[in-house]
Amino acid sequence: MEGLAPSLGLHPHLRLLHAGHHRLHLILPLFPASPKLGPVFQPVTQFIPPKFPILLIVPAIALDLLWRRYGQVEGQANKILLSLASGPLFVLTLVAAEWPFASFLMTNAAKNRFFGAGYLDYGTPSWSLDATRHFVQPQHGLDLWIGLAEAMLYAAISVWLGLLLGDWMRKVKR
Amino acid sequence: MSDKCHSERSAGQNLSSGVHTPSARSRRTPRSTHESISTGSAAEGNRSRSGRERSQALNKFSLPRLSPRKSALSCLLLVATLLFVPPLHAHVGSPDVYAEGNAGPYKLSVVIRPPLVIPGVAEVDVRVLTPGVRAINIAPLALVGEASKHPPTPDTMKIATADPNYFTGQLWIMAPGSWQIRFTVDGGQGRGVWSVPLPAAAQGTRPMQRGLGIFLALLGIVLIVGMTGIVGAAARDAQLAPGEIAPPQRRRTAVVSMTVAFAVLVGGVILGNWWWKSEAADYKSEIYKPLAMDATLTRGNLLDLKLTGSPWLFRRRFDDFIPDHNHLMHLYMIRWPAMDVVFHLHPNPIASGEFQLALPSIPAGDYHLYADVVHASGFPETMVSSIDLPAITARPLAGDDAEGQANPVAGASADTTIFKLPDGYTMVWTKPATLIARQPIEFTFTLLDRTGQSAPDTALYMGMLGHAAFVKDDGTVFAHIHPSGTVAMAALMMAEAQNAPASSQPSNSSTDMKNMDMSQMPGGSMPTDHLPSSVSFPYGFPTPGRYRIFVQMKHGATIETGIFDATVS
Repeated sequence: MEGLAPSLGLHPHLRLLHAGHHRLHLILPLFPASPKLGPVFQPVTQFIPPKFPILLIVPAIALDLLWRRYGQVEGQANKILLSLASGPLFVLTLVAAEWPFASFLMTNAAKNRFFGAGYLDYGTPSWSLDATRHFVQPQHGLDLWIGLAEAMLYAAISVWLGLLLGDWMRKVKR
Repeated sequence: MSDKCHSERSAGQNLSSGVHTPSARSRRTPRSTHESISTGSAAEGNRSRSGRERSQALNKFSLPRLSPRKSALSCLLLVATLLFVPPLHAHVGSPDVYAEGNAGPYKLSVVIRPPLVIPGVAEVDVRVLTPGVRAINIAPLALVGEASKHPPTPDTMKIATADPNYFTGQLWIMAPGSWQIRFTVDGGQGRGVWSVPLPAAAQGTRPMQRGLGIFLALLGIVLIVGMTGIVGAAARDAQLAPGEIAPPQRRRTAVVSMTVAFAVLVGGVILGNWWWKSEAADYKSEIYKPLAMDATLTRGNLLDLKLTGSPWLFRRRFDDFIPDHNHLMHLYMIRWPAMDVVFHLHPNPIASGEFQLALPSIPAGDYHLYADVVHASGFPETMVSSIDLPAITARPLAGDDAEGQANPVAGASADTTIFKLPDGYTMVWTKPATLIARQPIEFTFTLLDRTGQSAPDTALYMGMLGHAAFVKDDGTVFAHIHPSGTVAMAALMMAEAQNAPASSQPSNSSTDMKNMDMSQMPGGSMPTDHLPSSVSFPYGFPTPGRYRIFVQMKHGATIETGIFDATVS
């Protein structure tokens, strides 16, 4: 994925962030560690890496592609239109990528060094949702779509504010 | 801040002894504004995710609002009170754990002072009574469940420079629940392990120190003013070329921007305050809330005890009690305020959360009731109630029932060390020269026969040489103690069962507890053919004041109750 990023013009910081996550995943478990505080539910003997990162890289690529083509628009109306397109694009591409990926992470196939789904920190009880590999109160149907619509709206507002701030910052002289 | 102080009244209000009611209906006595308990077999997971499955339990006490000055004063008083008399689940107003036992070949005397808040630091002091100990490591772990099998990396206790047999240490208690502190001792005779149960629960909240609050508030003001200024400067000058003077329009824009920024920042502070109070209320729901107990007298001498209370932090159950030295409930009835009559009785469960007992013959009076129970998790609780009783003429004492009578505590000005028993025997307290609060003391009592010699026919009383109850004359302290200390014997047995190597460990489920032989209890594992006539209890008075000590010992088939008075400085 790191190799793919430059060809798509992905921002270097995003590449760095993503690469950092992966290396943390691979390197941390190599170091021995033991719990210093109780209660200890999992007798771990090495560092436990954080969860596999959310696939933000997918909406990031999609937004990059969109903004490469339409990002130079002028005028408030166009900016609002771009925001209204960017918000749903971000949410829908993230859901499209993360939803099946999260389902994959719940399978035994993800219990390996790379995806790290098998790591449990010492404070996680064996009967917890994490250990038993259950989603936390998943929503379906109308509730889900209302939630996604809200997320798209907030994302669009966020993009619009970002564009305004970006415009302003572009004019900063001192 | 006043709200917080209201929530922090401590056990000092416990057992208000003044109110009398004419009927035999009980008056539930408020123990503190932050009642509570933990129990539950399901407690284990909650310990690690305390906020996740917390109950809706809320503090229902509503106290009158005070003027700011009174409020501040009361805050100080309450904070001071909290520092010295936190309420507690097991016992009342006596939170510190005192215990004596053997880590392999080494005898230890331990004091554990649990934290007031959770997470918090427990102070652990150990006096080694067997020479040759080089190091002691301590680790906190759950008493039951999966987390009881995996101790964290232990901490090494420090040896006092002035006394090589005195060790001190600190442990973080990260979640409320039924814990044990495991002591691993290394010395000339090899390694020994001993575990002491520690029921842990948040007892209150502490307000921010005034000085720190003012300091942080000033910093916050500086931040807000600074941020507003930055926004104003950015709006006025950021897009001007260097050296260019801002025109009036930009100045107006800057003023508007600063006003908006200031409003947003103030809104953020208000939201932050709302979040802070929400977090505080959330935490308050985790503060220990003891079980309540309603006592009523029916059909002449039938005492009915109904347990009520919120689920508190865990799914508290009223039907998961385990036997603690042979009985599911130990009930002390003390006539109040004279404290001149005491009964140690054992009601039986008749339904979930309901106990009953046919009372023996009892003199009339207002009795305070202290009922000890232990949940399956090993978490002990003491429920408090009171009841006005008429004179009851009924059955004689039977089984493990015990009764004692003495002069009213108000008339006893001096400490007493000799108590004449009704059958001609005598109980003698080997009293230390001084009694100082919060210091561990070995309370030793000796039973003498009618000739003044050590009683030759001493017997075990519920598997032990004796039981003791320490009760303060203002009702703020009640502690039921055994020769091994303040810990519940059932919990201690659960902890002791885990000291052995893993391969030989029995299961520690509550069902196993029901089958345990009380003679195997710490302090009770001794030959029964020739028992010593003395018994010792490790304990420390939590606060200065006047205390009455009720001590039960047995000889032959007679259970004796000696009553002693102590002034603690």
